[in-house]
Amino acid sequence: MSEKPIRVLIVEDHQVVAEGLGALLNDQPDMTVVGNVGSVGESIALAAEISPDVVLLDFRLTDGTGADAGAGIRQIRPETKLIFLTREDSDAARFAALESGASAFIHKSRAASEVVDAIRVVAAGGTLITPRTIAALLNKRRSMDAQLDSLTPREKEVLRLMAGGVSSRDIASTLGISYTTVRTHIRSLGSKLGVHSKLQAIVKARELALVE
Amino acid sequence: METVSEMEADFWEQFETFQSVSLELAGFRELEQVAERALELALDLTKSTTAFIALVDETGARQQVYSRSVSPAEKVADDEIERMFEKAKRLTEPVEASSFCGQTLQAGGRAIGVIGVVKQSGYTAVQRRAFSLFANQLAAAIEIARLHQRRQEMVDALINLRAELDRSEEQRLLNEERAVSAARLERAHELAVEALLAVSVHAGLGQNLTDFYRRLTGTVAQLVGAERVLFWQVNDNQTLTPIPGAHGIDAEFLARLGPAPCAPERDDLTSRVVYKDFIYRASRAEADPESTRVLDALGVSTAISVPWRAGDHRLGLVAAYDSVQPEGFSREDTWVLHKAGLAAGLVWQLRQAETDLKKTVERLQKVDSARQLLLKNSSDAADKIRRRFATELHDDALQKLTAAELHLGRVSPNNLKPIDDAQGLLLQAEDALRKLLFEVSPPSLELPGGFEETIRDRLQMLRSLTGIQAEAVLDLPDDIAYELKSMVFRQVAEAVTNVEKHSRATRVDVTVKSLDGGIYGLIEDNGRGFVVAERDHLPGHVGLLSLNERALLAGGWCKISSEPGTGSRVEFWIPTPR
Repeated sequence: MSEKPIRVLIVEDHQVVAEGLGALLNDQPDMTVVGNVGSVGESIALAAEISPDVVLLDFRLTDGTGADAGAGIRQIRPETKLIFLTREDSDAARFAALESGASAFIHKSRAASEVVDAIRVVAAGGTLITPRTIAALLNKRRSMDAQLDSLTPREKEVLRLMAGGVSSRDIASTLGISYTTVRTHIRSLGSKLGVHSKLQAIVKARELALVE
Repeated sequence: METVSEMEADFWEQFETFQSVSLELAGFRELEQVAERALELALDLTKSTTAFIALVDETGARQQVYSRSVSPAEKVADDEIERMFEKAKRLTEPVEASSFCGQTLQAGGRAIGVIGVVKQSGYTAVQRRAFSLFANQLAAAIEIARLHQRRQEMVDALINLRAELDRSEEQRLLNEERAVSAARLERAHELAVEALLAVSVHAGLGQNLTDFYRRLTGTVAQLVGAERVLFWQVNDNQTLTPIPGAHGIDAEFLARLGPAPCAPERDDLTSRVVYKDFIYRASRAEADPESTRVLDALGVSTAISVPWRAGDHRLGLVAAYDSVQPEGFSREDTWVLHKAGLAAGLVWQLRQAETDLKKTVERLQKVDSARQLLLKNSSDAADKIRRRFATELHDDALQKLTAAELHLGRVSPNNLKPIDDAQGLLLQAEDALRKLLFEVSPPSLELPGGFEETIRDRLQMLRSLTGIQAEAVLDLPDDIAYELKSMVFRQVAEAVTNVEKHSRATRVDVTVKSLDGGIYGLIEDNGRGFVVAERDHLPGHVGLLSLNERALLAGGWCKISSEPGTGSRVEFWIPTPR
């Protein structure tokens, strides 16, 4: 083959998956796996050293997120293409990936069938993230920001504690405010965010990245 | 014919007789006796058939008549006496040769009566003269007897007066005593009311039973004038012991007092006071041997003790020692002590009921907060289990499946090797899922012999995961409810997980067996240990709490003991429901 193979760096903390991916990619004539690491720190260092064309990133890593790793790598080598291969498919994760400069975001359940094609597309300068996806994510982010801005710092605290499963009375004693005040905050959260139960609070707090 | 010398001789004889008779008459003290004897003598001396004496009072009215006849047939009738009396009164000179001879009785210049005699043959002049002398002697004798009588009357009156005086004095003393005892009673009433008031005030003021007790004994001591006041309480083992903290009772005094035997059927002093309402009062000055022994044993000079009861409930006795009064304790003091004891008994019961209630409330609150904590922990624990489950699923089985998929993606007619890789990964994924399933729901727990097997399996996992040497001594019945088996397994698994995660032990010994109608478990390791008091701040403390709460909620107990460097020991017991 006349063209140089696509140099791929795998950032994946699960050894079996990394091995599977390596075997799959190395089976491809136009690709070669140049490295295999499991942490943010290692990935940035190795990327700086070996200059991969494409970095295949898991989102959840031992010392941070794939987005952290991607951002770090792109800072050193902005031309490096990033593909996220993960089971994490929350908006927050997608948005973080987008911000770090991702060119593709693939769910792990589709790994085998899609990942090889994605590497080729991305390596050729394409992207698998459509403008529509970007627009939708941005809209969602704007609405999240608006919701967050609508909350007072105290309401954010109350929501965070509610999502942590703390009872109203315990929230009162934790924040040093009266039970009635807590109830007022909860009512206010209800009207601002449509949060009426502990479960909704957990979902909303996650959505707003108030809790992990 | 009668000669003068004969007449003289007769006269003198008569005269001598009258003389001796007058002396005899003067000897009588009673008017009655004088009159009787005088009539007898007059009849005898004058040889008359009838004699009479009529006495008059100062106004001349007839007062008394005495008469006598030699034979009843010649008894003088009352009207005859009247007649003769009138006749005698008119007489100034004796009537010659008459059958009647009367003489007025003169004393102190006034007539006090008449004496008369009657004889058919009449009286001689000498007889009349002698009779006149006799009458004079009689008058004197009567007057003497009257005087005697008056004197006697006066003496009697005096005696009566004296007796009356004595009686009045007695009455006065009695009244005085009554007044004093009424005053004392009133005072005792006042003191008792004060005692009751003190009890109620202290009951309100006292911060706690000890404080109330100190105040109460102080006030009672003041009321009865005692140096010390002490409550003794009856214990379940039929002894009586002093309650410390009383007024005037220091450690030294208390050290002298041992428990005294006390029971309803006993007849000693203490038991009598407590159970038979005997009121005891003793002072060294007038003590019997038993009291002396008691006073010696107490080291006091005076003592009173009364029962301390609340209704029919015998609480013990109240005692006051060392009266400040020189005469010692009075009956009123015992009374006041009694009242104070009664009131204190009721308040004591009230207080104790309050204390018991408080304890019960505290216990209920504790149980409630334990329940709430458990609820929170159990939801936390369920949450944790879910997360652990998800993480393990994500990190283990799912990754293996992903990898297997990736390998399968490599398969081509020319390359079949990835199938083997995929198969290996699928087997690994299966193992990972089995392990996960075991932790969620031990598969053999419900099978015969599965209870012990499940525990052994968990220990085998511990061995293979950590290399910790694990030994088990198990002796468990299989015929118990699944819920109980599950609970016991969770207790063991929780303790083993703690050993696995935190202990850094090299060995763990697990004993689980039937004991005292329940299941007893002991999990002991040789790890680094921890300070039990700080366990709330230790990693895995929720696990330690769950161990405790799970056992408590099942009606059993759990004890966690450890010290840094000496390993740790978890013991629990859960009752088997009948």
